[in-house]
Amino acid sequence: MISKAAPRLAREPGAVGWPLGLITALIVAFLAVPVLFVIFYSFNKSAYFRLPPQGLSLRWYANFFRLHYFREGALISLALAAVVTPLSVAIGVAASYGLVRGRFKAATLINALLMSPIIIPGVVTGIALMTMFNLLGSGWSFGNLVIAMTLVCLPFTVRTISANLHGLNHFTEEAAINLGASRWTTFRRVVLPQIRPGIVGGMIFVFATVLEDVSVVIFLTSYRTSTLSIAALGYLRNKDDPTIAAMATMLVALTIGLVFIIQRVIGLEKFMTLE
Amino acid sequence: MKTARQARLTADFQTIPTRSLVLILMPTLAIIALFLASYGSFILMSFREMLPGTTTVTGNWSLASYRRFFRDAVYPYFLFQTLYRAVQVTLLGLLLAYPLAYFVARSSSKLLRQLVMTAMIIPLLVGGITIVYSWLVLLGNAGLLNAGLKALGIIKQPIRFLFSWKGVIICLVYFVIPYAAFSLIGPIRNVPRTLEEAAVNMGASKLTVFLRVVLPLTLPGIVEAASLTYSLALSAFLFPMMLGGGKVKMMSNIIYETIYVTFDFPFAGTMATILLVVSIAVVVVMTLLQRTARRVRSD
Repeated sequence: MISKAAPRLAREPGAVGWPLGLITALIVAFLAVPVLFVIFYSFNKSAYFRLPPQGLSLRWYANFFRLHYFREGALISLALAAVVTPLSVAIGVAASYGLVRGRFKAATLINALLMSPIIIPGVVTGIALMTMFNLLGSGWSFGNLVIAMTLVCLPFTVRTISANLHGLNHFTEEAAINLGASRWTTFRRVVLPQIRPGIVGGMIFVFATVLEDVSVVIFLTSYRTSTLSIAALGYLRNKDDPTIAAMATMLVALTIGLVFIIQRVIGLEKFMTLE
Repeated sequence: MKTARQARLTADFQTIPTRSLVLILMPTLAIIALFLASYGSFILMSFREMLPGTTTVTGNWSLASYRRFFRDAVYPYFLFQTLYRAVQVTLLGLLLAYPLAYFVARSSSKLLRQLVMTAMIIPLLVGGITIVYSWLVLLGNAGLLNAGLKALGIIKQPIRFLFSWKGVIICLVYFVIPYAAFSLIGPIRNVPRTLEEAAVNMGASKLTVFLRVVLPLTLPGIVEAASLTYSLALSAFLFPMMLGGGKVKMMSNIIYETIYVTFDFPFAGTMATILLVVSIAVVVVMTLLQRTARRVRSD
Protein backbone atom coordinates (compact mmCIF):
# COMPACT_ATOMS: atom_id res chain seq x y z
CA MET A 1 0.00 0.00 0.00
CA ILE A 2 1.83 3.06 -1.25
CA SER A 3 -0.78 5.51 0.00
CA LYS A 4 -0.22 4.46 3.59
CA ALA A 5 3.53 4.82 3.28
CA ALA A 6 3.18 8.28 1.76
CA PRO A 7 3.48 11.08 4.34
CA ARG A 8 0.15 12.52 5.29
CA LEU A 9 -0.35 16.17 4.57
CA ALA A 10 -1.45 17.88 7.71
CA ARG A 11 -4.25 20.39 7.18
CA GLU A 12 -4.33 20.02 3.44
CA PRO A 13 -6.27 23.02 2.11
CA GLY A 14 -9.54 22.07 0.47
CA ALA A 15 -9.55 18.76 2.32
CA VAL A 16 -12.63 17.61 4.15
CA GLY A 17 -12.75 18.71 7.77
CA TRP A 18 -15.12 17.48 10.47
CA PRO A 19 -17.81 20.19 10.05
CA LEU A 20 -18.30 19.18 6.41
CA GLY A 21 -18.13 15.52 7.38
CA LEU A 22 -20.92 16.04 9.88
CA ILE A 23 -23.11 18.02 7.45
CA THR A 24 -22.55 15.35 4.78
CA ALA A 25 -23.50 12.60 7.25
CA LEU A 26 -26.77 14.40 8.06
CA ILE A 27 -27.69 14.86 4.38
CA VAL A 28 -26.80 11.24 3.63
CA ALA A 29 -29.08 10.26 6.52
CA PHE A 30 -31.86 12.38 4.99
CA LEU A 31 -31.38 10.52 1.69
CA ALA A 32 -31.18 7.11 3.33
CA VAL A 33 -34.03 7.32 5.87
CA PRO A 34 -36.97 6.93 3.42
CA VAL A 35 -35.28 3.98 1.71
CA LEU A 36 -34.42 2.21 4.98
CA PHE A 37 -37.82 3.02 6.45
CA VAL A 38 -39.72 1.51 3.53
CA ILE A 39 -37.74 -1.73 3.89
CA PHE A 40 -38.46 -1.90 7.61
CA TYR A 41 -42.12 -1.02 7.10
CA SER A 42 -42.68 -3.73 4.47
CA PHE A 43 -42.14 -6.38 7.16
CA ASN A 44 -44.52 -4.65 9.59
CA LYS A 45 -47.28 -6.91 10.82
CA SER A 46 -50.05 -4.35 11.21
CA ALA A 47 -51.54 -2.28 8.42
CA TYR A 48 -50.66 1.05 10.08
CA PHE A 49 -47.48 2.63 11.31
CA ARG A 50 -47.14 2.21 15.03
CA LEU A 51 -44.25 2.50 17.46
CA PRO A 52 -42.96 0.13 18.71
CA PRO A 53 -43.43 -2.26 15.73
CA GLN A 54 -45.99 -5.00 16.19
CA GLY A 55 -43.89 -7.89 14.91
CA LEU A 56 -42.59 -9.21 11.62
CA SER A 57 -44.61 -10.62 8.77
CA LEU A 58 -44.37 -11.37 5.05
CA ARG A 59 -48.09 -10.85 4.51
CA TRP A 60 -47.70 -7.68 2.39
CA TYR A 61 -45.38 -9.52 -0.01
CA ALA A 62 -47.98 -12.30 -0.27
CA ASN A 63 -50.66 -9.68 -0.86
CA PHE A 64 -48.61 -8.06 -3.64
CA PHE A 65 -48.24 -11.33 -5.54
CA ARG A 66 -51.86 -12.33 -4.89
CA LEU A 67 -53.32 -9.27 -6.64
CA HIS A 68 -53.58 -9.77 -10.38
CA TYR A 69 -53.10 -6.10 -11.35
CA PHE A 70 -49.68 -6.02 -9.67
CA ARG A 71 -48.63 -9.25 -11.38
CA GLU A 72 -49.85 -8.00 -14.76
CA GLY A 73 -48.43 -4.52 -14.17
CA ALA A 74 -45.03 -5.98 -13.32
CA LEU A 75 -45.10 -8.16 -16.45
CA ILE A 76 -46.06 -5.21 -18.68
CA SER A 77 -43.39 -2.98 -17.13
CA LEU A 78 -40.70 -5.64 -17.55
CA ALA A 79 -41.79 -6.39 -21.13
CA LEU A 80 -41.74 -2.65 -21.87
CA ALA A 81 -38.25 -2.32 -20.38
CA ALA A 82 -37.11 -5.38 -22.37
CA VAL A 83 -38.20 -3.72 -25.64
CA VAL A 84 -37.40 -0.06 -24.93
CA THR A 85 -33.92 -0.60 -23.45
CA PRO A 86 -32.31 -2.27 -26.51
CA LEU A 87 -34.26 0.06 -28.82
CA SER A 88 -32.98 3.18 -27.04
CA VAL A 89 -29.44 1.81 -27.03
CA ALA A 90 -29.50 0.94 -30.76
CA ILE A 91 -30.97 4.30 -31.81
CA GLY A 92 -28.82 6.09 -29.22
CA VAL A 93 -25.55 4.55 -30.47
CA ALA A 94 -26.38 5.38 -34.09
CA ALA A 95 -27.49 8.93 -33.19
CA SER A 96 -24.46 9.65 -30.99
CA TYR A 97 -21.97 8.30 -33.54
CA GLY A 98 -23.62 10.25 -36.34
CA LEU A 99 -23.87 13.47 -34.33
CA VAL A 100 -20.41 13.35 -32.73
CA ARG A 101 -18.34 11.98 -35.64
CA GLY A 102 -20.27 13.32 -38.60
CA ARG A 103 -19.65 17.02 -38.54
CA PHE A 104 -22.54 18.80 -40.15
CA LYS A 105 -24.42 22.00 -39.50
CA ALA A 106 -27.77 20.58 -38.37
CA ALA A 107 -26.11 18.35 -35.72
CA THR A 108 -26.60 20.92 -32.94
CA LEU A 109 -30.27 21.38 -33.82
CA ILE A 110 -30.92 17.63 -34.00
CA ASN A 111 -29.15 17.16 -30.68
CA ALA A 112 -31.21 19.92 -29.03
CA LEU A 113 -34.48 18.45 -30.32
CA LEU A 114 -33.45 14.97 -29.22
CA MET A 115 -32.65 16.20 -25.69
CA SER A 116 -35.80 18.29 -25.26
CA PRO A 117 -37.95 15.61 -23.52
CA ILE A 118 -35.61 16.03 -20.53
CA ILE A 119 -36.64 19.63 -19.88
CA ILE A 120 -40.27 19.36 -21.01
CA PRO A 121 -42.64 18.34 -18.17
CA GLY A 122 -43.69 14.68 -18.40
CA VAL A 123 -47.37 15.63 -18.29
CA VAL A 124 -46.92 17.81 -21.39
CA THR A 125 -45.20 14.96 -23.26
CA GLY A 126 -47.95 12.60 -22.06
CA ILE A 127 -50.74 14.84 -23.40
CA ALA A 128 -48.85 15.43 -26.64
CA LEU A 129 -48.52 11.71 -27.31
CA MET A 130 -52.09 11.00 -26.22
CA THR A 131 -53.44 13.65 -28.62
CA MET A 132 -51.35 12.30 -31.49
CA PHE A 133 -52.26 8.65 -30.87
CA ASN A 134 -55.94 9.67 -30.71
CA LEU A 135 -55.65 11.53 -34.02
CA LEU A 136 -53.90 8.56 -35.60
CA GLY A 137 -56.53 6.28 -34.09
CA SER A 138 -53.93 3.91 -32.67
CA GLY A 139 -55.99 2.95 -29.59
CA TRP A 140 -54.41 2.25 -26.20
CA SER A 141 -51.83 -0.34 -26.97
CA PHE A 142 -48.46 -1.65 -25.88
CA GLY A 143 -47.05 -0.19 -29.09
CA ASN A 144 -48.00 3.33 -27.98
CA LEU A 145 -46.15 2.78 -24.71
CA VAL A 146 -43.06 1.55 -26.57
CA ILE A 147 -43.03 4.65 -28.79
CA ALA A 148 -43.65 6.97 -25.83
CA MET A 149 -40.97 5.50 -23.59
CA THR A 150 -38.39 5.33 -26.41
CA LEU A 151 -38.97 9.02 -27.04
CA VAL A 152 -38.63 9.84 -23.34
CA CYS A 153 -35.59 7.58 -22.78
CA LEU A 154 -33.56 8.35 -25.90
CA PRO A 155 -31.97 11.48 -24.34
CA PHE A 156 -30.38 9.30 -21.64
CA THR A 157 -28.57 6.95 -24.02
CA VAL A 158 -27.63 9.73 -26.44
CA ARG A 159 -26.21 11.81 -23.60
CA THR A 160 -24.17 9.08 -21.91
CA ILE A 161 -22.87 7.62 -25.20
CA SER A 162 -22.06 11.06 -26.68
CA ALA A 163 -20.18 12.02 -23.50
CA ASN A 164 -18.24 8.77 -23.84
CA LEU A 165 -17.51 9.33 -27.57
CA HIS A 166 -16.33 12.90 -26.96
CA GLY A 167 -13.81 11.55 -24.48
CA LEU A 168 -12.27 9.07 -26.97
CA ASN A 169 -9.31 10.07 -29.06
CA HIS A 170 -9.74 9.07 -32.67
CA PHE A 171 -6.20 7.82 -33.22
CA THR A 172 -7.23 4.21 -32.61
CA GLU A 173 -10.01 4.53 -35.20
CA GLU A 174 -7.65 6.23 -37.62
CA ALA A 175 -5.07 3.49 -37.11
CA ALA A 176 -7.64 0.76 -37.81
CA ILE A 177 -8.75 2.47 -41.03
CA ASN A 178 -5.18 3.07 -42.16
CA LEU A 179 -4.43 -0.60 -41.57
CA GLY A 180 -7.21 -1.47 -44.01
CA ALA A 181 -10.20 -2.16 -41.75
CA SER A 182 -13.56 -1.14 -43.17
CA ARG A 183 -15.52 1.59 -41.43
CA TRP A 184 -18.00 -0.98 -40.13
CA THR A 185 -15.26 -3.26 -38.77
CA THR A 186 -13.59 -0.26 -37.18
CA PHE A 187 -16.85 0.70 -35.51
CA ARG A 188 -17.57 -2.82 -34.30
CA ARG A 189 -14.06 -3.77 -33.15
CA VAL A 190 -12.60 -0.42 -32.07
CA VAL A 191 -15.35 2.07 -31.21
CA LEU A 192 -18.01 -0.19 -29.71
CA PRO A 193 -15.77 -1.74 -27.00
CA GLN A 194 -14.67 1.74 -25.95
CA ILE A 195 -18.20 3.14 -25.55
CA ARG A 196 -19.36 0.26 -23.38
CA PRO A 197 -19.46 2.43 -20.21
CA GLY A 198 -21.72 4.94 -21.98
CA ILE A 199 -23.98 2.17 -23.24
CA VAL A 200 -24.29 0.49 -19.84
CA GLY A 201 -24.82 3.83 -18.08
CA GLY A 202 -27.55 4.79 -20.56
CA MET A 203 -29.20 1.36 -20.28
CA ILE A 204 -29.46 1.69 -16.53
CA PHE A 205 -31.16 5.08 -16.79
CA VAL A 206 -33.56 3.76 -19.44
CA PHE A 207 -34.43 0.66 -17.45
CA ALA A 208 -35.08 2.68 -14.27
CA THR A 209 -37.12 5.32 -16.12
CA VAL A 210 -39.35 2.77 -17.86
CA LEU A 211 -40.07 1.07 -14.54
CA GLU A 212 -40.81 4.27 -12.66
CA ASP A 213 -42.48 6.64 -15.10
CA VAL A 214 -45.89 7.92 -14.06
CA SER A 215 -46.43 11.33 -15.64
CA VAL A 216 -46.18 10.24 -19.30
CA VAL A 217 -47.57 6.72 -19.03
CA ILE A 218 -50.65 7.78 -17.03
CA PHE A 219 -52.10 9.36 -20.20
CA LEU A 220 -51.47 6.27 -22.32
CA THR A 221 -52.75 3.41 -20.19
CA SER A 222 -56.16 1.99 -19.53
CA TYR A 223 -57.05 -0.40 -16.77
CA ARG A 224 -56.22 -3.23 -19.14
CA THR A 225 -52.69 -2.14 -20.02
CA SER A 226 -51.44 -0.65 -16.83
CA THR A 227 -47.75 -0.57 -15.89
CA LEU A 228 -46.54 -1.40 -12.38
CA SER A 229 -46.31 2.27 -11.31
CA ILE A 230 -49.84 3.03 -12.49
CA ALA A 231 -51.17 -0.11 -10.75
CA ALA A 232 -49.39 1.00 -7.56
CA LEU A 233 -50.84 4.50 -7.88
CA GLY A 234 -54.34 3.08 -8.27
CA TYR A 235 -53.83 0.90 -5.19
CA LEU A 236 -52.47 3.83 -3.13
CA ARG A 237 -55.55 5.89 -3.88
CA ASN A 238 -57.89 3.28 -2.40
CA LYS A 239 -55.96 1.42 0.25
CA ASP A 240 -53.54 2.39 2.97
CA ASP A 241 -51.47 -0.66 3.89
CA PRO A 242 -47.80 -1.68 3.47
CA THR A 243 -48.36 -3.65 0.21
CA ILE A 244 -46.70 -0.76 -1.65
CA ALA A 245 -43.86 -0.91 0.89
CA ALA A 246 -43.31 -4.54 -0.13
CA MET A 247 -43.23 -3.51 -3.79
CA ALA A 248 -40.92 -0.59 -2.99
CA THR A 249 -38.55 -2.91 -1.09
CA MET A 250 -38.30 -5.16 -4.13
CA LEU A 251 -37.58 -2.09 -6.27
CA VAL A 252 -34.88 -1.02 -3.79
CA ALA A 253 -33.33 -4.49 -4.08
CA LEU A 254 -33.42 -4.18 -7.88
CA THR A 255 -31.80 -0.72 -7.65
CA ILE A 256 -29.03 -2.05 -5.40
CA GLY A 257 -28.48 -4.67 -8.11
CA LEU A 258 -28.17 -1.85 -10.67
CA VAL A 259 -25.69 0.03 -8.44
CA PHE A 260 -23.68 -3.20 -8.20
CA ILE A 261 -23.64 -3.50 -12.01
CA ILE A 262 -22.55 0.16 -12.32
CA GLN A 263 -19.79 -0.48 -9.81
CA ARG A 264 -18.52 -3.60 -11.58
CA VAL A 265 -18.85 -2.48 -15.21
CA ILE A 266 -18.16 1.26 -15.13
CA GLY A 267 -17.31 2.30 -11.59
CA LEU A 268 -19.36 4.83 -9.62
CA GLU A 269 -16.97 7.71 -10.32
CA LYS A 270 -17.08 7.16 -14.07
CA PHE A 271 -20.90 6.77 -14.00
CA MET A 272 -21.13 10.11 -12.23
CA THR A 273 -19.29 11.92 -15.01
CA LEU A 274 -21.60 10.36 -17.62
CA GLU A 275 -24.71 11.78 -16.02
CA MET B 1 1.67 7.52 -53.42
CA LYS B 2 1.00 5.58 -50.30
CA THR B 3 1.31 8.65 -48.14
CA ALA B 4 -1.17 10.51 -50.32
CA ARG B 5 -3.64 7.67 -49.86
CA GLN B 6 -3.10 7.74 -46.13
CA ALA B 7 -3.55 11.48 -46.00
CA ARG B 8 -6.82 11.13 -47.86
CA LEU B 9 -7.93 8.39 -45.50
CA THR B 10 -7.05 10.46 -42.47
CA ALA B 11 -8.96 13.43 -43.80
CA ASP B 12 -11.81 11.15 -44.78
CA PHE B 13 -11.94 9.60 -41.40
CA GLN B 14 -13.36 12.73 -39.84
CA THR B 15 -16.30 12.89 -42.20
CA ILE B 16 -18.71 10.02 -42.48
CA PRO B 17 -20.01 9.65 -46.07
CA THR B 18 -23.35 11.47 -46.41
CA ARG B 19 -25.18 8.30 -47.47
CA SER B 20 -24.09 6.40 -44.33
CA LEU B 21 -24.83 9.43 -42.19
CA VAL B 22 -28.39 9.65 -43.47
CA LEU B 23 -28.79 5.93 -42.91
CA ILE B 24 -27.58 5.91 -39.29
CA LEU B 25 -29.55 9.05 -38.42
CA MET B 26 -32.77 7.70 -40.00
CA PRO B 27 -34.28 6.27 -36.78
CA THR B 28 -33.33 9.43 -34.88
CA LEU B 29 -35.02 11.62 -37.47
CA ALA B 30 -38.11 9.40 -37.34
CA ILE B 31 -38.27 9.82 -33.55
CA ILE B 32 -37.88 13.59 -33.89
CA ALA B 33 -40.66 13.66 -36.51
CA LEU B 34 -42.97 11.74 -34.15
CA PHE B 35 -42.03 14.06 -31.36
CA LEU B 36 -42.74 17.22 -33.37
CA ALA B 37 -46.00 15.74 -34.66
CA SER B 38 -47.19 14.99 -31.14
CA TYR B 39 -46.31 18.43 -29.78
CA GLY B 40 -47.84 20.02 -32.88
CA SER B 41 -51.08 18.11 -32.42
CA PHE B 42 -51.73 19.25 -28.87
CA ILE B 43 -50.72 22.83 -29.59
CA LEU B 44 -53.25 22.82 -32.45
CA MET B 45 -55.77 21.24 -30.06
CA SER B 46 -55.39 24.22 -27.71
CA PHE B 47 -56.77 26.49 -30.46
CA ARG B 48 -59.86 24.36 -31.02
CA GLU B 49 -63.35 25.39 -29.95
CA MET B 50 -65.23 23.47 -27.31
CA LEU B 51 -69.03 23.27 -27.54
CA PRO B 52 -70.14 24.99 -24.29
CA GLY B 53 -71.56 22.63 -21.68
CA THR B 54 -70.50 19.50 -23.58
CA THR B 55 -67.37 17.45 -24.07
CA THR B 56 -67.49 17.92 -27.84
CA VAL B 57 -64.66 19.60 -29.68
CA THR B 58 -65.86 21.38 -32.82
CA GLY B 59 -63.86 21.89 -36.00
CA ASN B 60 -63.63 25.65 -35.46
CA TRP B 61 -60.55 27.57 -34.39
CA SER B 62 -60.81 29.74 -31.30
CA LEU B 63 -58.77 31.57 -28.68
CA ALA B 64 -61.44 30.91 -26.04
CA SER B 65 -59.22 28.57 -23.97
CA TYR B 66 -56.42 31.14 -23.76
CA ARG B 67 -58.88 33.88 -22.85
CA ARG B 68 -60.31 31.65 -20.13
CA PHE B 69 -56.85 30.92 -18.71
CA PHE B 70 -55.92 34.57 -18.29
CA ARG B 71 -59.37 35.89 -17.34
CA ASP B 72 -59.98 33.49 -14.48
CA ALA B 73 -57.55 34.60 -11.75
CA VAL B 74 -57.25 31.09 -10.37
CA TYR B 75 -55.17 29.72 -13.28
CA PRO B 76 -52.47 32.42 -13.37
CA TYR B 77 -52.36 31.96 -9.58
CA PHE B 78 -51.63 28.22 -9.98
CA LEU B 79 -48.95 29.03 -12.54
CA PHE B 80 -47.40 31.55 -10.16
CA GLN B 81 -47.56 29.05 -7.27
CA THR B 82 -45.80 26.44 -9.41
CA LEU B 83 -43.04 28.86 -10.42
CA TYR B 84 -42.62 30.11 -6.85
CA ARG B 85 -42.53 26.64 -5.20
CA ALA B 86 -40.01 25.52 -7.81
CA VAL B 87 -37.75 28.40 -6.69
CA GLN B 88 -38.01 27.22 -3.07
CA VAL B 89 -37.20 23.64 -4.08
CA THR B 90 -34.24 24.79 -6.19
CA LEU B 91 -32.71 26.91 -3.40
CA LEU B 92 -33.14 24.23 -0.73
CA GLY B 93 -31.97 21.50 -3.10
CA LEU B 94 -28.78 23.38 -4.01
CA LEU B 95 -28.08 24.20 -0.36
CA LEU B 96 -28.19 20.50 0.54
CA ALA B 97 -26.56 19.20 -2.65
CA TYR B 98 -23.48 21.44 -2.50
CA PRO B 99 -21.91 19.91 0.66
CA LEU B 100 -22.53 16.40 -0.73
CA ALA B 101 -20.88 17.28 -4.03
CA TYR B 102 -17.98 18.98 -2.23
CA PHE B 103 -17.47 15.92 -0.08
CA VAL B 104 -17.44 13.54 -3.06
CA ALA B 105 -15.12 15.87 -5.00
CA ARG B 106 -12.62 16.37 -2.18
CA SER B 107 -12.74 13.50 0.32
CA SER B 108 -9.55 11.44 0.31
CA SER B 109 -11.33 8.28 1.47
CA LYS B 110 -12.50 6.16 -1.46
CA LEU B 111 -14.81 4.16 0.80
CA LEU B 112 -16.62 7.26 2.09
CA ARG B 113 -16.86 8.72 -1.42
CA GLN B 114 -18.46 5.53 -2.68
CA LEU B 115 -20.81 5.40 0.29
CA VAL B 116 -22.04 8.94 -0.35
CA MET B 117 -22.40 8.27 -4.08
CA THR B 118 -24.42 5.12 -3.39
CA ALA B 119 -26.71 7.13 -1.10
CA MET B 120 -27.17 9.53 -4.04
CA ILE B 121 -27.70 6.92 -6.78
CA ILE B 122 -30.36 4.85 -4.98
CA PRO B 123 -32.96 7.69 -4.74
CA LEU B 124 -32.07 8.60 -8.34
CA LEU B 125 -32.97 5.18 -9.71
CA VAL B 126 -35.51 3.78 -7.27
CA GLY B 127 -38.49 5.62 -8.74
CA GLY B 128 -41.12 8.13 -7.68
CA ILE B 129 -43.62 5.63 -6.25
CA THR B 130 -41.13 4.39 -3.65
CA ILE B 131 -40.14 7.93 -2.69
CA VAL B 132 -43.70 9.26 -2.49
CA TYR B 133 -44.95 6.25 -0.55
CA SER B 134 -42.18 6.46 2.01
CA TRP B 135 -42.74 10.16 2.63
CA LEU B 136 -46.49 9.58 2.78
CA VAL B 137 -45.97 7.28 5.77
CA LEU B 138 -43.06 9.20 7.35
CA LEU B 139 -44.82 12.57 7.29
CA GLY B 140 -48.22 11.47 8.60
CA ASN B 141 -49.65 12.99 11.78
CA ALA B 142 -48.60 9.81 13.65
CA GLY B 143 -45.61 9.21 11.35
CA LEU B 144 -41.98 8.80 12.30
CA LEU B 145 -41.07 12.47 11.89
CA ASN B 146 -43.89 13.79 14.08
CA ALA B 147 -43.32 11.00 16.63
CA GLY B 148 -39.61 11.85 16.72
CA LEU B 149 -40.17 15.59 17.12
CA LYS B 150 -42.68 14.90 19.89
CA ALA B 151 -40.32 12.53 21.70
CA LEU B 152 -37.60 15.16 21.59
CA GLY B 153 -40.02 17.67 23.08
CA ILE B 154 -39.72 20.03 20.13
CA ILE B 155 -43.45 20.01 19.37
CA LYS B 156 -46.62 19.26 21.34
CA GLN B 157 -49.10 18.99 18.48
CA PRO B 158 -48.17 17.10 15.30
CA ILE B 159 -47.15 19.33 12.37
CA ARG B 160 -49.41 18.92 9.38
CA PHE B 161 -46.97 17.94 6.62
CA LEU B 162 -49.36 16.01 4.41
CA PHE B 163 -51.83 17.80 2.15
CA SER B 164 -49.82 20.99 2.54
CA TRP B 165 -46.84 22.58 0.79
CA LYS B 166 -44.48 21.44 3.59
CA GLY B 167 -44.74 17.77 2.64
CA VAL B 168 -44.64 18.43 -1.10
CA ILE B 169 -41.51 20.60 -0.75
CA ILE B 170 -39.70 18.10 1.53
CA CYS B 171 -40.34 15.32 -0.98
CA LEU B 172 -39.37 17.43 -4.01
CA VAL B 173 -36.15 18.61 -2.33
CA TYR B 174 -35.35 14.96 -1.55
CA PHE B 175 -35.95 14.07 -5.19
CA VAL B 176 -33.75 16.85 -6.69
CA ILE B 177 -30.71 16.57 -4.36
CA PRO B 178 -29.02 13.69 -6.27
CA TYR B 179 -29.44 15.43 -9.64
CA ALA B 180 -28.06 18.72 -8.31
CA ALA B 181 -25.20 17.02 -6.45
CA PHE B 182 -24.14 14.97 -9.48
CA SER B 183 -23.94 18.04 -11.69
CA LEU B 184 -21.95 19.98 -9.05
CA ILE B 185 -19.21 17.37 -8.49
CA GLY B 186 -17.43 18.09 -11.80
CA PRO B 187 -17.29 21.90 -11.39
CA ILE B 188 -16.03 21.56 -7.79
CA ARG B 189 -13.34 19.09 -8.87
CA ASN B 190 -12.20 21.53 -11.53
CA VAL B 191 -11.32 24.22 -8.98
CA PRO B 192 -7.50 24.06 -8.82
CA ARG B 193 -6.35 23.16 -5.33
CA THR B 194 -3.31 25.37 -5.77
CA LEU B 195 -5.61 28.42 -5.69
CA GLU B 196 -7.06 27.32 -2.38
CA GLU B 197 -3.58 26.60 -1.05
CA ALA B 198 -2.39 30.04 -2.10
CA ALA B 199 -5.33 31.71 -0.33
CA VAL B 200 -4.68 29.71 2.86
CA ASN B 201 -0.98 30.49 2.74
CA MET B 202 -1.80 34.17 2.53
CA GLY B 203 -3.78 33.86 5.73
CA ALA B 204 -7.37 33.45 4.59
CA SER B 205 -9.67 31.42 6.82
CA LYS B 206 -11.39 28.30 5.48
CA LEU B 207 -14.71 30.13 5.25
CA THR B 208 -13.13 33.04 3.37
CA VAL B 209 -11.44 30.61 0.95
CA PHE B 210 -14.78 28.96 0.31
CA LEU B 211 -16.72 32.21 -0.13
CA ARG B 212 -14.09 34.09 -2.12
CA VAL B 213 -12.43 31.32 -4.14
CA VAL B 214 -14.44 28.10 -4.41
CA LEU B 215 -17.95 29.54 -4.62
CA PRO B 216 -17.25 32.10 -7.40
CA LEU B 217 -15.29 29.54 -9.43
CA THR B 218 -18.15 27.03 -9.28
CA LEU B 219 -20.81 29.63 -10.13
CA PRO B 220 -21.40 28.39 -13.72
CA GLY B 221 -21.82 24.86 -12.31
CA ILE B 222 -24.28 26.14 -9.70
CA VAL B 223 -26.36 27.86 -12.40
CA GLU B 224 -26.37 24.64 -14.44
CA ALA B 225 -27.47 22.60 -11.43
CA ALA B 226 -30.14 25.22 -10.67
CA SER B 227 -31.43 25.00 -14.24
CA LEU B 228 -31.79 21.21 -14.02
CA THR B 229 -33.36 21.37 -10.56
CA TYR B 230 -35.81 24.07 -11.58
CA SER B 231 -36.91 22.08 -14.65
CA LEU B 232 -37.48 19.02 -12.47
CA ALA B 233 -39.47 20.98 -9.88
CA LEU B 234 -41.55 22.72 -12.55
CA SER B 235 -42.48 19.31 -14.00
CA ALA B 236 -43.54 17.87 -10.65
CA PHE B 237 -46.67 15.75 -10.96
CA LEU B 238 -46.67 12.61 -8.81
CA PHE B 239 -45.37 14.22 -5.59
CA PRO B 240 -47.89 17.11 -5.41
CA MET B 241 -50.65 14.72 -6.52
CA MET B 242 -50.06 12.26 -3.68
CA LEU B 243 -48.65 14.47 -0.89
CA GLY B 244 -50.80 17.49 -1.75
CA GLY B 245 -53.90 15.32 -1.59
CA GLY B 246 -55.88 17.71 -3.80
CA LYS B 247 -55.32 20.58 -1.34
CA VAL B 248 -52.19 21.94 -2.98
CA LYS B 249 -51.64 21.56 -6.69
CA MET B 250 -49.04 22.35 -9.30
CA MET B 251 -49.62 23.01 -13.02
CA SER B 252 -49.21 19.37 -14.05
CA ASN B 253 -51.93 18.33 -11.59
CA ILE B 254 -54.39 20.93 -12.91
CA ILE B 255 -53.73 19.75 -16.47
CA TYR B 256 -54.33 16.13 -15.51
CA GLU B 257 -57.58 17.01 -13.71
CA THR B 258 -58.81 19.06 -16.67
CA ILE B 259 -58.46 16.00 -18.87
CA TYR B 260 -59.88 13.36 -16.53
CA VAL B 261 -62.53 15.39 -14.72
CA THR B 262 -63.94 17.81 -17.31
CA PHE B 263 -62.62 16.17 -20.53
CA ASP B 264 -61.85 19.66 -21.81
CA PHE B 265 -59.02 18.78 -24.20
CA PRO B 266 -58.59 22.27 -25.71
CA PHE B 267 -58.20 23.83 -22.24
CA ALA B 268 -55.79 21.11 -21.11
CA GLY B 269 -53.89 21.70 -24.35
CA THR B 270 -53.79 25.43 -23.58
CA MET B 271 -52.35 24.90 -20.11
CA ALA B 272 -49.85 22.34 -21.42
CA THR B 273 -48.76 24.80 -24.13
CA ILE B 274 -48.29 27.55 -21.53
CA LEU B 275 -46.29 25.19 -19.29
CA LEU B 276 -44.20 24.13 -22.30
CA VAL B 277 -43.42 27.76 -23.20
CA VAL B 278 -42.54 28.57 -19.57
CA SER B 279 -40.21 25.53 -19.26
CA ILE B 280 -38.37 26.41 -22.45
CA ALA B 281 -38.13 30.07 -21.39
CA VAL B 282 -36.61 28.99 -18.06
CA VAL B 283 -33.94 26.93 -19.81
CA VAL B 284 -33.13 29.80 -22.18
CA VAL B 285 -32.83 32.29 -19.30
CA MET B 286 -30.66 29.86 -17.31
CA THR B 287 -28.38 29.28 -20.30
CA LEU B 288 -27.92 33.05 -20.65
CA LEU B 289 -27.24 33.31 -16.89
CA GLN B 290 -24.67 30.54 -17.21
CA ARG B 291 -22.87 32.49 -19.91
CA THR B 292 -22.87 35.58 -17.70
CA ALA B 293 -21.55 33.50 -14.79
CA ARG B 294 -18.72 32.18 -16.99
CA ARG B 295 -17.82 35.72 -18.02
CA VAL B 296 -17.88 36.94 -14.40
CA ARG B 297 -15.63 34.04 -13.45
CA SER B 298 -13.05 34.73 -16.13
CA ASP B 299 -12.89 38.44 -15.28
